[in-house]
Amino acid sequence: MTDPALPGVIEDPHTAYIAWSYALAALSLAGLAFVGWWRARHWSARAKAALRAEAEGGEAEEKKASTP
Amino acid sequence: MITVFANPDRFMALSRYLTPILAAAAAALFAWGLPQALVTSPPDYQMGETVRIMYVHVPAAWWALGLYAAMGMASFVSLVWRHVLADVAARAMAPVGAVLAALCLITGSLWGRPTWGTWWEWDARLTSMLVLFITYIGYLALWAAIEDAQRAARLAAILCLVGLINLPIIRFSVDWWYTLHQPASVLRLGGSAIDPAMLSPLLIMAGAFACAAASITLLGMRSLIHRRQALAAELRLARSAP
Repeated sequence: MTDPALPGVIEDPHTAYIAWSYALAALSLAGLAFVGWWRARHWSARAKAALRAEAEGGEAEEKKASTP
Repeated sequence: MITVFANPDRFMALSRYLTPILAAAAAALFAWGLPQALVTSPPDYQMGETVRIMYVHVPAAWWALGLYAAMGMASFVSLVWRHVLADVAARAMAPVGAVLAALCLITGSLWGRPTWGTWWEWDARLTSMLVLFITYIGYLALWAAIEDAQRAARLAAILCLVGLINLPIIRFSVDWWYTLHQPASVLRLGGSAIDPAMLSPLLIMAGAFACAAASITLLGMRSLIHRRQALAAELRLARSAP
């Protein structure tokens, strides 16, 4: 195995180990935050749509029942 | 106190404000801690500059363990009192803990190569940490594999409680066995053995990781609660359709 240097960017292998560690940490936390935000947005919109459809369905049923 | 906030409606109202506050606190702590971790903290007399990996490796390890302990508590509450928020909390913590455990293993490997001359060694600390990562993956796989949410929650909670036995093994592995990994230098009897110039950025980075993990966990809990609401409403709609 070779050292994980970044050719042309970081030639010192020890600095490259540090750079890889911080880059991975940043990517991991940013990735988790993005996926969390996206899922929360998706399920919130879907829950709102489903609850609205349910409420509209309930209103239509009430109207139908009250019509002679 | 717990029963007040364990109500899903109250939790949603509170977490709506708490999530961005924790995210902002994480950003502020990273802005404070990163310059110290990367620039102003001194190099180690033996490891040199590579000691800077500690400022991401150690917080990742602490919170991978801390989240698993919290998952264990939530799983216990879920099994004993069958509280829906306990299931949601444990399930939301698992992906965050899994990523932190993976980050701990990878950064440890990146630190081990220049320090020990090897990427990996099957010693007690490294192996028990790998077992924790595999337990996290197993927990997530169990939730994904079982369709019945109540059954999945029960089995996942049992798996989580069984996996708790690994936490003291990880913590004390460096004391119980002769390992390549160094012994505890911060959380130990007799006080910290680490220089204050290194301890300060380490604690700030640990605080930043804690706030980030808490904020992401709250986001996860919110999306799981919305998911339950959406699926329940869709099911009621499908049943009421002519």
